[in-house]
Amino acid sequence: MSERQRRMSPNAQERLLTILSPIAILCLWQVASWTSIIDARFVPSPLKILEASWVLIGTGELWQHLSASFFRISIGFILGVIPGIIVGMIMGLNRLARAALDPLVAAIYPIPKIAILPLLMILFGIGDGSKIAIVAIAVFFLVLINTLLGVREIDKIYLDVARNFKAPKLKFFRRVILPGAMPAIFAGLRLSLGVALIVLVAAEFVAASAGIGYLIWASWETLQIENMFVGIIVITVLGVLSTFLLKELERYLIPWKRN
Amino acid sequence: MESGTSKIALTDLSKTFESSQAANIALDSINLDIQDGEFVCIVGPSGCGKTTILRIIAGLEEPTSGDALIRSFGDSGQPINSMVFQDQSLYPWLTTIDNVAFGLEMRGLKKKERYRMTEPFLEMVGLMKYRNHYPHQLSGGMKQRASLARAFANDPEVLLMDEPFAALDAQNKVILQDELLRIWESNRKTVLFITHAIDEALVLGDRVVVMTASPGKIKDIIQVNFDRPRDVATLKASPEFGELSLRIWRILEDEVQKARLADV
Repeated sequence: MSERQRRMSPNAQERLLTILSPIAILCLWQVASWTSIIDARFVPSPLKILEASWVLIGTGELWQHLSASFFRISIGFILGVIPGIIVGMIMGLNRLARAALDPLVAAIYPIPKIAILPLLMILFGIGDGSKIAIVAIAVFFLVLINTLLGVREIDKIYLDVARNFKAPKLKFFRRVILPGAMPAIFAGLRLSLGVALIVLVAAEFVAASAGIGYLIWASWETLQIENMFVGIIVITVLGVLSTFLLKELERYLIPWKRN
Repeated sequence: MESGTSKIALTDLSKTFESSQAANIALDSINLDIQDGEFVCIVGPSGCGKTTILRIIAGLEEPTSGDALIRSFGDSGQPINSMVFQDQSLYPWLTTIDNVAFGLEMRGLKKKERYRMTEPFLEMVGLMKYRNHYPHQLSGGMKQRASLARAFANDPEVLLMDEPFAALDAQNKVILQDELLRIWESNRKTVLFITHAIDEALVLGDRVVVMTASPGKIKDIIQVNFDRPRDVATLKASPEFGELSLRIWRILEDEVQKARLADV
């Protein structure tokens, strides 16, 4: 009896392991650094990185970089997502719009977005404008394609039911098309989040005077490797947090999805 | 054949599906009159075009030639037809009550009003407890009950049913046939019911229309005079039922063989 009680449920075991394994790796890393198995000049120890981030927080530098990146990515994301959903919906619902826009999308989508950064800097300047634009463009196409697919792949029987029950246009859209395409739209949003982070950091590497990408790149150039690691960790946390928020939003907006 | 009082009138109804290789005649001159309040079942081998008849009457498909007419005796606000589909056709994103009330919502009824009108039908099919569940939380039998309720709650003049019980197991099938009969007894709407199962057609229908294999024509129409209200299990055990189903099987047999050969 007491034997059984002392044992953990499989669920708790798994949860404990997901917390323990990263801690174990950090400890190993720290020990390897102390014993010089890892060269601390290239890969600083976790404690060193923690110390560096404490300094960066104290000087307000980290906050400045983080807010610059956060501003660009959130505005860019919104400016890409909303038109992406609208154009995707129109293409999904209208045969002619699809015929007209399909070749354009097919031609522009495969361009690596970072390749047009110089062009965007000519158009939107070297400040925040070009970074917001590159995030928006990268996000726009991903969301558009996923929305279009979502609308097109709504099971035909759901359209038949709506027709048989004489659904008026607006109700048809609100009660059938929009919820039917919602899971695919969210798949597009999740992909977009990852791509937005990549594109933003890359743009900040080469053409910014603030932002997490800039922090990473400038730290590398001045060989402040600890600060470089702080940048990497902060951008990772930003990615994890926004993915989590998106998942929560999805749970709220798609309550019918089975887990 | 033509009479001025029938509820549904099919006149020389034909449908040809054009494909790049060949024209496939699905329906060939179908003539059928269904009276107001009549329950008519169509049986035929798979691929005989019986579903196409229903889809044409429902307005989901255009006939190549001929007419499918539903005569409206009701007031102008009443929907003409509602269909019960064969496959899983409930919207996954709507709860049971919203699915059942879908037709009423499309007609612009306020939420309170449409819920009030929907609840008796939920009660009738025993889904009141599951009103706020999503379809993936329901069993196959419950989903088809909700589909039935959705069509009845819309209060149409004519109900069109496309093999609604085909995917259910044998026990659920009997239970749902009984439930359908019970609901139908309470309002006696005109029903056109498609099935490939002879016993189902006999249990439910006032008349059974037997169709030929492709191209689909009407081969025979059998009058079914079992007393109503009917109880499915009792009816099936009676010798008259056995005789009649054998008779229909004899009519259908060759057609099923033909359909099988066409498949290979």
